[in-house]
Amino acid sequence: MPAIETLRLKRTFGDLVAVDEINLAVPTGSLYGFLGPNGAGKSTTIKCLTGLLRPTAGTMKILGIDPVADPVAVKRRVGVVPEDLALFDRLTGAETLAFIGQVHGLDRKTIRHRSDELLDLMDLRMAAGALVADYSHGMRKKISLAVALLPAPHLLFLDEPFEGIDAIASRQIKDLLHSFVKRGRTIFLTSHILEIVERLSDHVGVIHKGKLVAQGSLESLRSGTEAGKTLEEIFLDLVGAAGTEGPALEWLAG
Amino acid sequence: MIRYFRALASLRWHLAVNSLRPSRKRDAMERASRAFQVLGPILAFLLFVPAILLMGALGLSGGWSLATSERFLATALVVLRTFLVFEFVLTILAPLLRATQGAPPNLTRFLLLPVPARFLYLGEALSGLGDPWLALLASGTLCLALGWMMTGGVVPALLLLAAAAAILGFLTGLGALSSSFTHLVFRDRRRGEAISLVLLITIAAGGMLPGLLSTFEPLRTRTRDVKAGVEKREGQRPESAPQGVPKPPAPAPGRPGRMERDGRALPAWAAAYPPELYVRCVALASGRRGGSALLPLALLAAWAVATHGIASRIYRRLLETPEIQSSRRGGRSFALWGRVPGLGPAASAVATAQVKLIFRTVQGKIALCLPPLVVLVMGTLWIRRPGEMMPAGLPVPFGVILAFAGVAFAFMTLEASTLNQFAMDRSGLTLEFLAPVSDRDLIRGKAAGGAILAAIRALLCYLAALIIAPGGSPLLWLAVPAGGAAVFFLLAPCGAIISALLPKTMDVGRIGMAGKPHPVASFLGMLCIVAGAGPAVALALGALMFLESPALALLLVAGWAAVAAALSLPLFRLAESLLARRRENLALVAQGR
Repeated sequence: MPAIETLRLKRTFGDLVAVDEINLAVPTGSLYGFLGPNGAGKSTTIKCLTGLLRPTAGTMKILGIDPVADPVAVKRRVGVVPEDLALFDRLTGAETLAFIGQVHGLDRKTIRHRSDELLDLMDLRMAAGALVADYSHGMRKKISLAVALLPAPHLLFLDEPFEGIDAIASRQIKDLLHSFVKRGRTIFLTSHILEIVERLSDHVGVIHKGKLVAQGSLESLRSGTEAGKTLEEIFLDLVGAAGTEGPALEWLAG
Repeated sequence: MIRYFRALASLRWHLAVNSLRPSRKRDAMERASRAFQVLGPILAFLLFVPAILLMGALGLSGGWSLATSERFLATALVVLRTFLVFEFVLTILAPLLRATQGAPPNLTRFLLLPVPARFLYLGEALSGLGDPWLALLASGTLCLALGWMMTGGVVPALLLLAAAAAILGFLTGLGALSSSFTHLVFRDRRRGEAISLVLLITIAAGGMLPGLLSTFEPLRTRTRDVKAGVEKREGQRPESAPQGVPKPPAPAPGRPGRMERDGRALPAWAAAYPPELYVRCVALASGRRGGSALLPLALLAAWAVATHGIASRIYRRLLETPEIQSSRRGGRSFALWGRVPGLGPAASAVATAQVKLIFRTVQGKIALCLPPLVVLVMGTLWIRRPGEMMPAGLPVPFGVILAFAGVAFAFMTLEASTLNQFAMDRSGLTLEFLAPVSDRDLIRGKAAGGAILAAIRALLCYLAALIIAPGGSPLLWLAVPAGGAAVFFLLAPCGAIISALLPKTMDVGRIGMAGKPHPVASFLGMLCIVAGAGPAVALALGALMFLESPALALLLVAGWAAVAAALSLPLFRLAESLLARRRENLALVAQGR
């Protein structure tokens, strides 16, 4: 059973078709990199999959459950680091984790144990009692990731997880994601840093102007192109940006 | 230099206009709601233009009148002084009050621009002329000089023009100084919030002080007695012509410490008080003593230069370190998160989060302190002047009325957390939507959070009333919480419905409009409170007036609370279905998109 499966998923905003009948198939236990240029529909797709947006048409199955019919059941099994991080400014980091723990029905001992480990991992122990409003962008990103991991989800949605994260934390998070996938869990991540996606992901989907233009394992994507092509080159080919030149900006020379 | 000012003016204009533009993703209900919200600023702008024109016309006619006759001088000086006192106070307080309402502007972008700091400062200072009160002053003072010039008095008119420029220069400098200093203080969130709290409670308490002091009858009587004694000793005399007291010598115009032309004795410090320096320029120009007016004019100009000098230094310091974070205090890595009795884990977490969020804001702290303070003041007034506080023949003890009024007031302070209960969470609402929290749990959690907040605030008011005005039947005192419960049973579901229909981007950390719900929501919330409290009051009064039975009063009020509880059930279900339908819009509005 795929972890995520969509059939002709569509979302429009007035006349704008943000997601145009895409058929996603994310295998369980995979680290799926979802790529696309700015405004391609990546965030709208994640919002539909996580229940923040209702699709205009099409069907979805997340871990075998229809998120429109039973959104709470899906949310019990998934963790999300959304684009805007979605945190209460006036709760402390520790309180935010406690809030999520309680919402998921975890007992105090479990919440304490998991919070401590996550705060250590994210190097946030010293700031655990400070309000999130006083956190830096990187710290907010880390606490948002901790929030997503605390209930031990089966599926993680990560929207640009490495943006604003320092090299040490980035390395720790990569290791964490690898071990998460090794345990049979699934990750669906978007990133603009194609090198990271290439290194981490085993499956990739590319969305362009709302349409899913390619999907599959990295090997299968490479097999359809010239040998030795990097993911960046494949991506640029798929979105039609390879070889295109922008304005010359000759005035920069002056 | 002109291009810098043109760019800065264009930036401010576009920011103001774009703040009225809605985002594309909103639905019809949200667009209508936004349209209503922007009506206020548009109407204010439409009224502002005629006000400026009217002020200019007043200035013109004033200048003409002063130049042609000295009859109006005394009146003109009183009007000018009064107006300038307001200008002076507003110029100092406005930046402070603005800062309590929102975060200081992000100066980093300005710092990155290839614009010298002195021009940035000038832009900031000149933007003060866009404040309505300074724009009115500019229009009035400049037209005053123009009106004078129209009579042919070129020299006094030029003098007045210079004085107008100097007073405007001083006030813009003072505004920039106050604004820069305020930003310097408020850029630390924690420090800013502490100052806001102290300032707002001081202002609120200060507002109640005159009423409280007016009740000190013995002191006033004593003063009157002393006066009467003095008059008796001095014999009967007409009030207007006191004898035995030497008359002060006739004053020379423009000399402080002596009698001014309007008949008021001015203290010596007025010689250096900038608004008074402007008034003296006008008085001396009117007395055809233009030469003498040069001294106050020079002093006023010196004030303007000095304030701009200090303000520009502080502004430069602000630019050098535009951002500062509050220190991140360490603390427990595990937060205690108790379960609210009777609620599931998800609803309980929502309720606890709501209570914590509200108590951590300035608004929440003020709402906790202010209602009991008002009850105490009202109680004190009643103790000192019982006849004035309550109509005669009312069968309810004052303490009970006070307690119920306090409870109703406590509900009114809930408006932010009840009438915009979803959007007030801002980004946190997305977290709640992503978490396994059903619509029902979210509504129940929010209602429970509101109930906890209301109970704490109402209890403080109730205790304050009980301490200051005890007495009356205990059954009537018991009817007060029953009436409060009736109000809550109507307000909680209606608040959820209103919050789902009329969300507004709001920061509960701010004071003023930015921290308030939609105006229509506030109005509807007030109607809910009246709908809950009205029948309770009517039933209790009926039982006491016609049957004189406190027990029946309690029974009837409790019965009304039960009816309200029954009414709340379908209303809560309606709120759930509305929340389910409007989730996307709520998330967008909560994040300010």
